This record gives sequence, C-alpha cells and structure tokens, in this order.
Amino acid sequence: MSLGRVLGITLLAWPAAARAGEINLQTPVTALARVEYDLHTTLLAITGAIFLLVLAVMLYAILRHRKSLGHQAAHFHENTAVEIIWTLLPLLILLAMAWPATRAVLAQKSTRGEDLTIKVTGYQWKWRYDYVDDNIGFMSHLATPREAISGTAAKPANYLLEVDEPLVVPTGRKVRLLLTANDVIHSWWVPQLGVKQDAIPGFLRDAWFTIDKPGLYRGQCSELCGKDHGFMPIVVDARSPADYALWLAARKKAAAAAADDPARVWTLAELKSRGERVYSQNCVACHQATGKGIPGAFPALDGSPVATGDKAAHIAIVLNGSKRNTAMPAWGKQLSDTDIAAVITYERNAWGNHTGQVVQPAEIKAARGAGQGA
Amino acid sequence: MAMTDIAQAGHGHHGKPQGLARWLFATNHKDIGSLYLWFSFCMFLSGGVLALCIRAELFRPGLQFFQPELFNQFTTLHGLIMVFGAIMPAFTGMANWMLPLMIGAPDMAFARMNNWSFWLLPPAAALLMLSFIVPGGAAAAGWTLYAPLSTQMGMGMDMTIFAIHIMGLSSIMGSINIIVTILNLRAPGMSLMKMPMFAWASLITAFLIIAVMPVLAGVVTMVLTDRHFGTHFFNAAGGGDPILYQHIFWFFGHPEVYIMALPAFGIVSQVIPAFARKPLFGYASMVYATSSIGVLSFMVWAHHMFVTGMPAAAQLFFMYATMLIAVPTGVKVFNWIATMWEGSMSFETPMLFAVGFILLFTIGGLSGVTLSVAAVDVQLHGSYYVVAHFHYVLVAGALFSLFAAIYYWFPKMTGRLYSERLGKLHFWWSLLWFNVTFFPMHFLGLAGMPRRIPDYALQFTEFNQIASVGAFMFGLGQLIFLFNMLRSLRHGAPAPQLPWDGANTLEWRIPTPAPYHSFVEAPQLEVKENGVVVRLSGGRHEE
Amino acid sequence: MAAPLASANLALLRRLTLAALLMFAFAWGLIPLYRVICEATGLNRVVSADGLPKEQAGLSARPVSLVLDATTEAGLPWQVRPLTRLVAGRTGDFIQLEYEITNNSNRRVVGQAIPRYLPAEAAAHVRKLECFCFSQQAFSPGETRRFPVVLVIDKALPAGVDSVTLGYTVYEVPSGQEGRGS
Repeated sequence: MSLGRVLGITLLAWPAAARAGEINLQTPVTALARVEYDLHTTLLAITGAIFLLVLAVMLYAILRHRKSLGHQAAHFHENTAVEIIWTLLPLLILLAMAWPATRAVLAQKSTRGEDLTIKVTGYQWKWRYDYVDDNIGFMSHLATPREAISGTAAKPANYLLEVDEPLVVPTGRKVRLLLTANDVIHSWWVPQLGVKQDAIPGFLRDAWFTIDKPGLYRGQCSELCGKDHGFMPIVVDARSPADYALWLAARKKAAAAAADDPARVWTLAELKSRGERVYSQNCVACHQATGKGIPGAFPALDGSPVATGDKAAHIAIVLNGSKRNTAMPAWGKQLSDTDIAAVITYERNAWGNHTGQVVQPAEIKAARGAGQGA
Repeated sequence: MAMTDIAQAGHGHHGKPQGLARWLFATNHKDIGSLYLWFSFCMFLSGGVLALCIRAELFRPGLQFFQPELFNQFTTLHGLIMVFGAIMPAFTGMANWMLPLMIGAPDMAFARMNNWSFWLLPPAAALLMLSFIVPGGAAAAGWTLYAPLSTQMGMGMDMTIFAIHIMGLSSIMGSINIIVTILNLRAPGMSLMKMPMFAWASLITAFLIIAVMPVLAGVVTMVLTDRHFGTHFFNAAGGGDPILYQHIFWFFGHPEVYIMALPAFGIVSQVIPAFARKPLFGYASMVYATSSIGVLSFMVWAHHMFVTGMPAAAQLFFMYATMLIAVPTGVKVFNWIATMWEGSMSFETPMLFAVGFILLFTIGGLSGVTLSVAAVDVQLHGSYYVVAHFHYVLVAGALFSLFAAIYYWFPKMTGRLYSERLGKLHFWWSLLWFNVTFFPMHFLGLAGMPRRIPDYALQFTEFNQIASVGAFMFGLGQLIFLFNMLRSLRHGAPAPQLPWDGANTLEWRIPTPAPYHSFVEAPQLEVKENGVVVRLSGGRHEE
Repeated sequence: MAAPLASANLALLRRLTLAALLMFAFAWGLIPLYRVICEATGLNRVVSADGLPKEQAGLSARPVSLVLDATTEAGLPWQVRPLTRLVAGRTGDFIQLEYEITNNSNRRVVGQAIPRYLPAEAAAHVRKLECFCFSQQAFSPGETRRFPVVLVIDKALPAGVDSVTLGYTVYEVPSGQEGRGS
C-alpha cells in the first residue's frame, strides 16, 4: 500500500478503514460471547454518553467563557450540593453496571455439566489438545509457511490464523477445557467463543463453551510467551455432532494405524522426508529453514559440530535440551522416538551436511534415560 | 545521611558553581530539577525511537525489519524506559524545580541526597541500553517481566533487574526528599490544607513510591534468585507459583499507574485556574479524591489478572473495587470543568495541553471502566484495546500534563518566553496524531488483535498502518517541542515576572528567572486554598 | 538551617527509610502470606495428609462426581494416568481411585506429584487420606506401579459444586534434592 493511500485513509476515511477491518468485537457464536458482546455494547453506550456530556459542558465553557469574548470570571469555588450529586451519581451508574457484570462473571465461571472435556496444553510455541475421554491427542502448529512471513511468498487469506491440526469440537455440546502449560504462561483466546484463559505451568485451569453453529473460529495466544508468541494461533473447527462422531472415529483409527512399530528399520529417504516435516513444525522457528540459525541467539545447524560430529551427542541434546541455552527444550518429552530419529537424520543430511548417517528409532529408545541423568 | 548533608541544604551563601562541576556536584534544586528534566527528555526520545521501531515493523503484515526476539526486546524496553526513565524522573524533576518555589522552601531538604538520586539514573539507563548488545540481547519478557518467562532470558534480564534496583533506589530517595521538604520546609502561613494541589499530588505520589518501589525491588530480586541461585519462588516444580509473581508485581504495578497520574492531576490543577482566572473548584474534595485514589490503588491490583483463573469471588471483589476508583477520578474531572465554567479563559499552550489532558484522560478513564468489568475484560485483556487504554492514560495523562507544566513554568525557569506559535503548533499536532495513533488501537483490540506481537493477520492491516503513520507524525511533532525549547532558551524574548495574569501562586511572586538561591530567608505568607498568595512579606533571594 | 529543623528532617528521613525497608520485607513476606492464604482456602494444598472431616451435623450427603487428570512436566519420562477418568460418589463417603505410573526411561527417576483442584472453592473440601503425592516416588527403569488414592469430599462442599476435578502435576525431583520436602 502506498504512503499516499495510507495518508488518505488516515485523514478522511475512517469509514473506508472500518469497511476493511472490524471495529467491534467479533460476531459471537456462543452464549458467553453474546453476553460479553451485549455487556460491552451497554458499557460503550453508558461511557460514551458520559464522555459526550463531559465534552459538551467543556466545549460550551471553552466557547463562551473566554477572556477574548470579554467574559468576566465568576468567583465561586465550591458548592457542596453539586459535589455530593456528582459523587453519588457516578456511584449509582456504577452500581447499575455492576449487576449485569456480576451475572456475566458467574456465568463464565460455571463450568459444570460438560459433555466433553479437552485438555489444552500450551507449549513454546504451539498448542496440544488431548481428548481425555477418547484417548487421542495431537499438537497444533502454525500452518502459515515461513516464506509467507518473511515475504518471499504470497500471504494466504488466513495468514497467521491457520493451523495444521485444528481443535475439532461438536456444536451444541458443552465443551470443557482443562488448561495447563508446559513451560511459561500462555493464554488461550478465541474471540468468537468468548473464551480467554491463561494456561499456567504446573497449575490447572478450566473454561467452557457451547458453540451454536458449525464453522472455523480463529484465535491466538494472548499472553507474551517468548519469541514466537505471535505465531501460535488457535483454530476451532466446530462440526455437527454427527460429523464430529465421524471425525472422532476416523481419528481414532488413524491414531491406531500411525502408531509406529518401534522395531521397524527405516531408510534414509523415509526418515529424511518425515524429519523435514518435524523440523518445520518444531525447529524452524529458531534454527531457521536454512539451518543457519540466528547469530548470537540460536546456533546454526548447517555445518555445526553437533549436527556433523558425534551422533550420540546430537541425540542427547535433542532429547534432553541444552544446559547452556535454555531456549533449546528437551524434545524427548514432546516428540516420539520416530520423530526424533527422523529429525536428527534430517539435520545430519540437509543443507551442507552430508554425513549419510541414519538414526533409527531404536537408537533413540536406547538413548532415552541413558543420557538423562547426566 | 551525614550531618554535613543537612548543613548543605540551607546553603546559598556563595555564587553559582561553574562548568561541569555545577552539574556533577549539583545540590541546588533548580540544577537538579533541570538535570532530571533533560535526562527524562533524552529517555523519552530513546523510548520513542523504540516505539517507532515497533510501529515500523507493524506497518504491514509479515516480518520486515526485526526478528520477533528483537521486537519483544523493543516492546519491553520501550515500556521500561518510558515508565522508569521518562515519566517518573520527569515528575521528580518538576517537583524538584517547582516545589521549593511553590511552598517557600530554600531548597530540597537533603541537597546531597538529591544529587545522588539523580546521578543514579544515568548508570541505570546505560545498563538498560547496553543490554541490547550483550549475548541474547535485552530483556524480552514485556515490561511486566512475568515469571517464568523472565527466568528464561539471557544476561540482559539481569542487567534490567539491576537497572530496576538502581532506579527504584533513586526514586525512593527522591520521594523521601519530597516528603520531608513538603512536611518540614513550608514557609510560615503555607498550611497543608492551603498548599498548591501540585504539592499535594507530589506528596501522595512520594508516599506511594516509598510503599511500592521496594515491593518491585523485592519481586525482581526473587526473579534474580530463581534465575541464578536455585530458588523456586515462581517455579511450580519447586513448589512455587507463577501467579504469585503477578500478585506481587501488580501490588506494585497498580499504584505505579497512579504514581504516573497523580502528579499530572496536580499540574492540571495549577494550570486550569491560572488560565480560567478563577479559583480551583472544590480544593478540599480534590485533596480527598487524590488521597482516596492513592489508598484505593492498593486494593485493585488483581484486575490485571482477570484471566489467570481466579475464583469468582475474587474477580467480583477486584471488579467492584476498580469500578469504585472511577468515582474519585470522576470528581476530579468534574472539578476541573467546574473551574473552567464561568471563567475568563484564554488558551495559551499550557492551557491547551491541560484541556487536551482532561479530554483524553477522560477517554482513557472510561475505557478503564469498560476494562474493569471482568466479564468484558475476558475479551479485551492482552489485546490492543489495553494498549490504547493505557496510552490514553499515560501519554495523554502524564505526557500532556508534563508539556503543560514545562510551557507553564518555562518563563520562570529560564527568564525567557517560548514561542507561543510553535507551542500551539506542537499541541495541535500532538493532539491530532496522538489520536490517529492510538484511537484505532481500540478497534484492533476489539477485533481480536493480541498485544506484543511482531506480525498480525491480514484483517488488522489498515488500522495498523494508520497507527504507524500517526506514530511517526507524533514523533516528528516532538521535534517541534525540542526546537522551540532550544531556540527559546537562547533567543526567547525576556519574560516578565508574571507572564500569566491569572497565575497567583508563590512561584510567580519571585523575580524572573528564579534566583539561583530563592527564599534563603523564609517569607511570611497568607495564602488561600491551592496556594494562592494573598499577602507576602520578607523572603530573601540570592543569585 | 536551624538545628531543630535539621534534626526533625533527619527523624523523618529515618522513619521513611524504615518504611521503605519494611515494604521491601513485606514483598518477601507476601510469599509465606500467600502460601498461608492458599493453604487456608485449599487453593494450593500440597503434600500432607488431611484428617477425616469432623462430623458435619445438619449437612446431608449428596452425589458428587470426581474428574481425574494428570500432567507430567517437561523432562519427566513418566506416563501418569488415572485408571478411570470419572468417579461418581457422595459427599461424606470414602472415594477410592487408582493412578498408574510407568517410567518410560531406562534409568531410575524420582518424582513428586502435586494435586490441583477445580473449581478452586472445592479445594478446601477434598480431604486426602491416602495419596502417592504425600511423598516422593522412586521408579526403577521401565517400572510400572499402581497407586490407590483415598479421599473424602466433605459435606460442606458449596452447593453450587457438583463436580470436582482433581489433576496431579508431576515433576522430576533432581537427583541432588531427593528426600527434601518441596
């Protein structure tokens, strides 16, 4: 957008901008969000009226009680009656506002009678969803390609608000979220659902929603959680109960099928292609797609001693994290043996690294524990 | 504190020291006040440059100039520098300069401690700035430094914590000086319930600082020991609690908001009567309102934590308490308007900034009422709505009042008149672009844009571009101010003793520019409410 | 400056400095205070066994459901899971449930579980009589064990609460700190 056009919008086209983006809370799709929406509208009306009143009185004084118009200053400097009135009146207005506000708070806190419980865990920088009643769970990562963010590729319509695995829920059912976090505080926010709840490491919190109609509802992490705080969106895919049941059945079947046979021996090509995907989901934020890292903050993998040298050391740092640089977490906790084997194989055979070495899932299984006490 | 320091306080029997020594070893309240004001202006420009970096990155979606980690460092340092480097020292500087003149004191009570309070600040600022170039960069956990994120950072975080310790110490020493000066050094006749509102505001602010800056120092020390000495205050794995950090931080943090707002109330309460040529309406209720805001500010901290998942009862308590604070704040606004009502107003630059302050602060206050409603805060917490809200309170509140104060007292401080034409241009320019920058942020927040993100979804583009343009223009406008000040210092027309015919407090009864050693002998005063001088006798000054 | 004024200033200076120091101490005092408040309200009740509730005359037993969950913290190679996700019981009655813990690594690991409750106001009413969270648990490589948990939800449970969530957060105890209370 040219500077000229921006200036144009800036100076005279609030309506034009309003057309392009939203200027109010997003359209609610749950009862909670509707309550919040209406409450905000009420508050806006009351505070707006107060502001206009204050402005009108002030403007009148500014226009009429000026020295340049020859207005003589009065000398009053107190009036007990008036002062009591303008202390009590706001108090009454606030009391009137407190009533619906209290009811809304109590409604938000009423997490009872759920049909379905989903555990939400915040990670730096992705979400994990566990359907605790059905024994399935998955990570949900940002799906927007890094190239779109850096500007070398076009930005998709749902730029930064798209994930590889959305949270699928049934409509018309009360969904209860149990929230916690793995590392730092995150906050799970989907505006259209009217839910925002911090996910706190070591603690359990809950929230709930019942979605009216099927659709994709998007949100973002809203508590600063480090480098990629802006890149861990939330997508809720609400489906009719019948569609949800279908999805759940398919998902369970896929989960059973995808359970990797730990004894299977993989080829270099298989591991490399799987590793590339694991890398792009988990490692690319710091080590970059080029494997060059960010000098001073995140080390390069391309040509690094770890990724080209001793295999055991490489496995150990991926499994257990780095003691020197706390930004490198212990992936052993988050990823399966197969995924770790794949990503290490990928790192040892990507960019300028050509070790030709293959790391098998069995090696990871053996390494788990062995290196951890160190 | 050595006895010699006390002896210094009432000095003034030798001439003005010269050269660098005058500033390095400054004990004169006017010199120290000037140091504070220049320092805070430099910090304001540094923090402003960081803000412009943020707005440049946010001009369009995608990452253009800065990587996310650096962006987070910018938002963090922008906040810390503006709060602890710009606003707080500026008010301390203003109090240093004007309080002794307004209450008829010879100087601040502890002149040498005053020197230390100031000279602690530049090293602290240097620590903050230098943290950008250490490995890992500056602190990137937001100015709130929430644990456990703040336990993850590199040594930039340690430097920040150390800088906060130093700046905290500085502001505590400055506050002790302000309290002792106001309580013990008022000239005969200047009683507490007659003294200027600016003195009252400074006094209450100083008490707030003494009450909460040590708490901040404590909580960042806990982060430091969690980081390096194996404690687990905020680490759940060791039996700690990350929410505890937030409770302690906001126990400091909410009074801190009023530390940045009360002196602004004081300044506006001096400027409005002077240009309305009418006494301040409801002086006593202003004093009570200011005090009750001070007390209430200790009971509302957890409204910053509505989405941490506290029990409903706690949410409701903090919601009610927060709504309650709107009452004394409203009283103040009504009192200012009643002061303007039936006045004989003229609109020189200080008055413009004061009126602009009332207008914008009211918007910030009302959006604060909206945020106080916990159920609505669920949608707005951590969004750009909050960014809009606190910039309306802090830029329009603290910054505009500081501009009002500087324009108002500039003739008395320097003996010269500033350019009224440039002053008015500065006001209208700032008012316009301030609103262009921050008003759209309300929309962004409502529409769902989280704060502290370096990149955003496409539907937020237009308002971000408007805000970025506004920010750069607003920033540019501050150069008008700098130019006006620098030029007027050298070439401004000589100021008369009383440049504002409606100004009637004590500082306007001494020669212009203010003599280097004013009131070496206390005057005998008869004053009316808000420090209006009815009769003055005695009071000797020396150059 | 007159001597009485100077000493008055000094006296005030001392008092204000003391106030600042007290506030610094107060910040540290908030930690035990917070802990006391959390324990009193049950928000953060941790490892000790609770006694049986006193006979609560006049309060009648009512149905209550108990939702179970567990979270293992980063780095702990354990699988912790409740054998049943949902337990139906009555207030005032003994409720028995079971957790299974497996050490997935091939080294000895010591862990500590901390119970968390939802909703917060229920926490004070859950009285654990037996729990693996009362002490640190050591697991040899690959070991799996089951732990019974026995608790009573007392009859004073607030009327609005008919379902309580009990979630354990389990941490690894670093090898140097085994045996120390948390």
